[in-house]
Amino acid sequence: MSAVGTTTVTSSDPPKSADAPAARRYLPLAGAAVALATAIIVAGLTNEAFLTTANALAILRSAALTGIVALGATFITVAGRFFSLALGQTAVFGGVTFALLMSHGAPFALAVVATLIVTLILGAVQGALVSMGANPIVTTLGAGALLAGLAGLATGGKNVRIESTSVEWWGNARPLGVPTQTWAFLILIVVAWFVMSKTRFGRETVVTGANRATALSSGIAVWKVTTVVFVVASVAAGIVGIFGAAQFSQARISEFGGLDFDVVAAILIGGTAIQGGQGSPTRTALGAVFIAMLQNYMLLLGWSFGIRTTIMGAFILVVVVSFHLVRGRAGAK
Amino acid sequence: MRSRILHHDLILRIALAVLVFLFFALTTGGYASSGNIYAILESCALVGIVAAGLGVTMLAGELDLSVGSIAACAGIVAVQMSGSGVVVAVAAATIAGVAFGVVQGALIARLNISSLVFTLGTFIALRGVAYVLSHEQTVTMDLSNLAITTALRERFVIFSPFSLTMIALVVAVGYVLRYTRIGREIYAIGGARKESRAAGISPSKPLILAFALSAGLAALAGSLSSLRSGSATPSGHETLLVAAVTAALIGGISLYGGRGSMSGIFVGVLTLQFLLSGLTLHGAAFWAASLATGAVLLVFLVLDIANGSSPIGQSLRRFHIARRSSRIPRTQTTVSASTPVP
Repeated sequence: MSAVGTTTVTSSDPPKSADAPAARRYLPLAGAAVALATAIIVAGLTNEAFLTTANALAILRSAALTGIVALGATFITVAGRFFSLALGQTAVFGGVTFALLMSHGAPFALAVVATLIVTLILGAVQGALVSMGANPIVTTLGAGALLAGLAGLATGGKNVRIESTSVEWWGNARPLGVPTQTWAFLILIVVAWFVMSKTRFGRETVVTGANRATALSSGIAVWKVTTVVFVVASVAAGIVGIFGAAQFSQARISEFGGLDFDVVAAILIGGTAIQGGQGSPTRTALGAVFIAMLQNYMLLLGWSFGIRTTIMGAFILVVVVSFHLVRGRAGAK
Repeated sequence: MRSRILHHDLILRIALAVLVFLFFALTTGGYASSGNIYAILESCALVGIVAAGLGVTMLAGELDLSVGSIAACAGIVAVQMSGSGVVVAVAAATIAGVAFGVVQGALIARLNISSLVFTLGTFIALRGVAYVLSHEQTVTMDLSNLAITTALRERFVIFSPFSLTMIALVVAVGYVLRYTRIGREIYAIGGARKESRAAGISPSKPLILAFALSAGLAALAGSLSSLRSGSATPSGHETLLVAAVTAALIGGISLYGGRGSMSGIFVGVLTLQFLLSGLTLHGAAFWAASLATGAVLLVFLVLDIANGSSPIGQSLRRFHIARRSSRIPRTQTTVSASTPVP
């Protein structure tokens, strides 16, 4: 049974012509877009409630919340640190912080900035632990439990109401007919794309994920990159926490239960390599839209929560295994 | 020398458990009563059985995230089958769990895929299966079968059938790990995967055993706990994974693989439940358990970093050896402190 490793497929055949790299770079994005378009057509043909403007906006709105967190979490995965399982609880904690500040009379801008700083610190602590060599999944699992407890401690287990018209506007307004969350999502897609592909930090993230030893020996402060990617994801979760609290004018500690899984699914469907070193926020965004569509479509078909969750889990498994087989990178441990 | 260090480590962990117990025994009325100790052991049983299996995957250098969802599924199956008697119900759920674990372990070994990523998928999918199996409702036992519940709650001074099962299982798994060839192989592939492969150990069999044990024990624990309470909910056991990982870390099972023992698991589970029971008796709210578990997990995670084969742990050890060797006057000054970096 020494067959482990026989699945290794020689990957990344070298580009043959000069313009091959560009084609290769955009091929995955094009693939994801085609898959998404096919899914929209199939869903539209099989269910007439699907292809309506109202439903499209509903999908984009729920995709926005998952998507914003997934954009941030893409950096963790690309840096080779798998996932965070604390993002849902970070969003809850961010929402609670924001709501508590608002209900104690803090001005809107101050509450937002303070919440983002709190989530920044949460991310920095987790990132520092991981950069010391801690297992990222277990670290974030522990941090998630701790944050759930802290949110309970801060609120006494009750929802926190916000009385503010400006908060209500941020949660429910539709400038130019598009929800605020979707605007934020669109803007952050551009920001995340820019940071990942045009900045020094983005390049360092990719190199760190591709080969940590090489990154270290070429002078990249791997611990700094690791800490910052967790900060990015955590702050993204904080933003979503604020939006969630704003939408209902209250912070609920039972919110964002399935967020972590949807985020993982969006990243994986976007084709980000699970071992790191490869991935793009733009494709993650498409992945988030795809997940939101899939959830919406299954909901329209009247499928139960259990079936939807089973399918999501199976889907993640299939995607992970197929990408693993295609890329064939050994030494997955 | 090495075994003495491990021994020393375990004594410290036992001392911590005793300290936690004494603290609450002295500050909280009724804590050290036989009734409360019985209750503590009852809660230890669920987490302990799951942690024993999960601990084996940690020793193999992997992690099975799906245990909570497996326990939820098994609980529902067992309650639905309780009409055929406790043995049949538990056996059916456990055998299904073992079968699932074998497939999961075989796939992880065959595909050479990260168990964290793979079990995250099964963790989500099986949670969905639990909802499907139970038709999204809490499943309760038929009133005519309630004798099972009473039997499982029977009290022998401070023990119950459930907690006695836990102790027997921890001893059995400990025996397999310590005295059988495959048990040693689990340590070997966890401590040094490449080196053990070079030494002729195929990781497939130990991996399959590790995941079969973690899924099987999670199923057994889930089914017994649901039969004991007479009901199962599809959303149940969501905090089981965190509790089991925490217990294993308190007990000194390293996340870097190859380090730790079942006696450690037992001590870890006791420590965690001593703490949680104390908090409950102090009247802490429902979120306090989550807060305490998360905080304890992170503290022991840091200890594991310092002890384990992380870069920091290695440089700490190197520093330690260098200091010791500089103190002893020697003719031969070269001390090889480097451990193979995976």
